[in-house]
Amino acid sequence: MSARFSLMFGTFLSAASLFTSCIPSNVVAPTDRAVRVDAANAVWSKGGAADLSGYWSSRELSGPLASAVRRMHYWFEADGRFTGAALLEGPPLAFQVLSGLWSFDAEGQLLLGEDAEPARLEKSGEFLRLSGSDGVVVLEREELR
Amino acid sequence: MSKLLQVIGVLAILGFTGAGFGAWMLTKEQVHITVEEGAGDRLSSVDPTAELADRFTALQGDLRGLGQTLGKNFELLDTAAAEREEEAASAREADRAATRAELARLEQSFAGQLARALDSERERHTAALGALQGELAALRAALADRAAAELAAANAAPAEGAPSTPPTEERAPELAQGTPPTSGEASQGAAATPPSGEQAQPAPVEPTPAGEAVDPAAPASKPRKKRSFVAFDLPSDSFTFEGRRSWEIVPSLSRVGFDAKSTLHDFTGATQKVAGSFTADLSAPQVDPQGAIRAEAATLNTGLPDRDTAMYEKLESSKHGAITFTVLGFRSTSSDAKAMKLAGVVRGRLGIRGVEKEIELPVRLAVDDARRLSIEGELVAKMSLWGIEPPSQLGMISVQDEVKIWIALRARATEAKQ
Repeated sequence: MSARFSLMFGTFLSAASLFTSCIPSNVVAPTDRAVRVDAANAVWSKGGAADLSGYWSSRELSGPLASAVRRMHYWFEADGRFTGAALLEGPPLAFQVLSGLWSFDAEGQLLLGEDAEPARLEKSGEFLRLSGSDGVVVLEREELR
Repeated sequence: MSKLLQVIGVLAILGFTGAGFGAWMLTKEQVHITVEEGAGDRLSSVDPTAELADRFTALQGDLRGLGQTLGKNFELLDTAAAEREEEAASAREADRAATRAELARLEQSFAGQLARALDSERERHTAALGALQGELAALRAALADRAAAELAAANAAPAEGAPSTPPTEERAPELAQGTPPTSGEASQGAAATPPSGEQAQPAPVEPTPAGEAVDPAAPASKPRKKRSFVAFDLPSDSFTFEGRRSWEIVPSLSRVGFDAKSTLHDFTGATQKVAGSFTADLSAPQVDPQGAIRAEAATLNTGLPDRDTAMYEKLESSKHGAITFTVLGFRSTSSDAKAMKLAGVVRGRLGIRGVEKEIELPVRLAVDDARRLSIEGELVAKMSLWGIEPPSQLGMISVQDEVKIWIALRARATEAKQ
């Protein structure tokens, strides 16, 4: 009787352990509860003029400029022209728009107009990352319809 | 015989009565009875008027004595009061004198300190002024030398037919301002600030072949302010930790959820469909914090569709679509205004499945460099408190009643409140 019970109990435990191992735990670690943007895990490489063309919207802003800007949009032409709009903090919120010519300096840093500080340009798939002393802007390519 | 005795008795009574009557008749003329008023007073032989007069005299004496005693006492009282008044007046005068002396001493001390501080400050400023004057003289001399050198170079250049001397690093900003717009210059639209109006002054010397005009003596040597690398004119950051302001949850950067344990495995349910706002002064969060946050119950996701469906049934999400939290108060446990961080316990009503229960949620708050407020916190609670029966399958696979409810929110300041 005892041997039979042990056999049944062992079989049950084995089955239970096999069953439970099929569905892994999916508890989110406390450090991962906060939302992170997709670009946070991207692998970045140096960007160049060929990566700029198109319409870009800011996906994430960080650093001091993030306290002043809510959203940014850029349109880069391959011929060197660009235009942009930034939704600046208020109150009230207000758009600031500009247009000009982009270029690269001798160190390969992007210049959005002559009197702008140079920005380090990096790319990762459909993302561009501009970095400067005022912070970091991650731009995501968007389709103009 | 008995009758005889009765007759004899009656005759005896009659006889006695008749004898008594006869005796009264015989003596009634000699007996006189007189009743007089005040017969008792004859026992005292004192005259009441005299006694009254005597008593009056005695009373007069007593009164005289009393008057004399009272007069003496009043005199004593008056004397004592006068003495006390004198003592108090002299004490007040002494206090006044002491206060005057203290004030005079403080005045003297303060005047001395002030004089010393002023002397020290004057010496410091004099020294700084001297240094500045020295620097200014050196700068003037250097500027004059440089102007002379440039003039000589400009005069020599046409003769040699060569381009001008390449700009030094110090001159670079000046030349940049004098340069006409090139292909790299951005122009701003209506809402943008126009480009700086700083232009190089026409030079008193001959222009360089590149057409760059520079006045060495002009104050244009100040470097032109560079625009941000994003090319926009960014407003200055006016955010302060202090002050009451409203915050609005940013749903795309916020998440709320719970961690649960079951017989099979542990799991998390979470949603980003969270919204709300609150108002508080982060430097004094305990002062009348207000706000409400709501999450859509039917968007909680545990990663297993079947389990989600069962969860929605338990939460009655079709009937009670929102999980709500209403802020009632805040108890701060730590605060660092410089680092813009604080921690504490927020008290509020958590509504799940239409049932509201008061809870205390420990939270950590921090303002990041984007001036967004991150709010993180968690608490352990029993789902049965809200009338939710822990899910169970066939009595073998069951979820524990105790779950960990957590929030990871980010909010942006919308406006400052007075």
